[in-house]
Amino acid sequence: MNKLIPFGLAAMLASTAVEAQELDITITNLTHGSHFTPLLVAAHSGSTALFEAGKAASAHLQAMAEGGDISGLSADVDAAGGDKVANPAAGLLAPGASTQFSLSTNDGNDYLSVVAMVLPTNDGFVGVDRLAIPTEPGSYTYSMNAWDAGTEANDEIVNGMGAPGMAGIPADPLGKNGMGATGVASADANTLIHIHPGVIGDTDPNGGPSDLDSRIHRWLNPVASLTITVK
Amino acid sequence: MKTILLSAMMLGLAACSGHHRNSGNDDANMMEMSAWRVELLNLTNDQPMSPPAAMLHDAGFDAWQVGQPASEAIEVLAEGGDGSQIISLQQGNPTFSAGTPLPAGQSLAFEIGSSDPAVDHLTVATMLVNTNDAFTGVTDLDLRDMQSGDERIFLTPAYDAGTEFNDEAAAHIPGPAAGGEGFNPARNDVTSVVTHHAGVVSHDDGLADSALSQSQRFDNPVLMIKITRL
Repeated sequence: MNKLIPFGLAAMLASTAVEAQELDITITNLTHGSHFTPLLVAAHSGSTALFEAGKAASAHLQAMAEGGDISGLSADVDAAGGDKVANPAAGLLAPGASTQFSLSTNDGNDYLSVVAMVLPTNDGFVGVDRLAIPTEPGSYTYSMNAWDAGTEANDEIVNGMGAPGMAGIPADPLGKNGMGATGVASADANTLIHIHPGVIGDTDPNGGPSDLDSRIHRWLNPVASLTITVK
Repeated sequence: MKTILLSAMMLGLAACSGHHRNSGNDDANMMEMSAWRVELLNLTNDQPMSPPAAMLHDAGFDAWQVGQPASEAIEVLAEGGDGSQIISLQQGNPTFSAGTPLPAGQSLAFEIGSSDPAVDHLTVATMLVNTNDAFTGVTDLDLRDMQSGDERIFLTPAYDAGTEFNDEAAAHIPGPAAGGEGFNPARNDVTSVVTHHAGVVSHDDGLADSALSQSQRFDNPVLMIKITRL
């Protein structure tokens, strides 16, 4: 079983451990036509991570990125002694929509990580990796980018498949996808976690290379904003 | 992730004996070395980056500026992947040149430092080689207030040098997707200053004679730069 990724940079040791905090958090989906599946928001020590750019995705990250399943990553956070809010939006977070919630952090859980699948994609996810949680009272806003887990070819075929290792996209919550696509890509050139190159789409609802609509399902980074209010 | 650690420490003793910036305590400064570890991670799907070039320098040196025409040094880098001119713009400064390109998903790390306390700004540049003239990096990055052990992460956008039209033709893209021409001194871009890059179109998105496919498309950021003060 893949655990959280150990993170060993000496610099992290230099950061001062802070006391328990009560944070108010707002996450907004900035895209025009993409939903986020249930979010996982975790505070944890600097020695663990949900994902890391340039590294292979864990099996649990793959399950989140390909099918929106955060149960494995949630268990990883618990096992690592982290604090979490799972599924704060009680389901999908629609384009333009926000979710607000509170997160109580324990001593030493000084870093915040966020993940959720971007739907419809093959294995795209919105996320931030180990943001140092501010300690001075105030409101802090960050941008989040769309990442590609590198675990599944971006074929852009909507076929209901969300299980890890199964090609295809589970669904388009907007209901604007086409059918019968031949597939855009057969493999990722980069099979490690990287910035998602975006989807191509087409305008053919009954064929063409993609089941996504190029006028609806594209995005540009950043795809989400994250506001942390320290009281 | 494979990380190659390369040492590019320059002691800068020649600079000390040349022009002194702090005449009061030269002896102390001569003994102290400011050094940083720099790690570069290519965040793209399929844009290998040309051998990254880096230099430490005084404040105020901008290798490029949005809205200003690219220097020939930037043009040579952004069209052909040759970073040697950029790091030659200030003679005698500590520099680093990678020996090989940086593939997508891969990282490399090097150390760079100076005994001259005023040489505490960083420039890093590299070309996205499956493009006409896209590059990324940082320039005149102020490292002054980093304390030993401090770590900072920068996510950098793709820039368009504004020196070559983005025709995506095989003849004009030097990377492995095409194998075409690199640097050409003729300038034929519609906007002749450095801007942010809008990304590539590719033949999968309707530019029929593009040498690029969906695989080479990219969104920002394209490079992660992790800097640690040693």
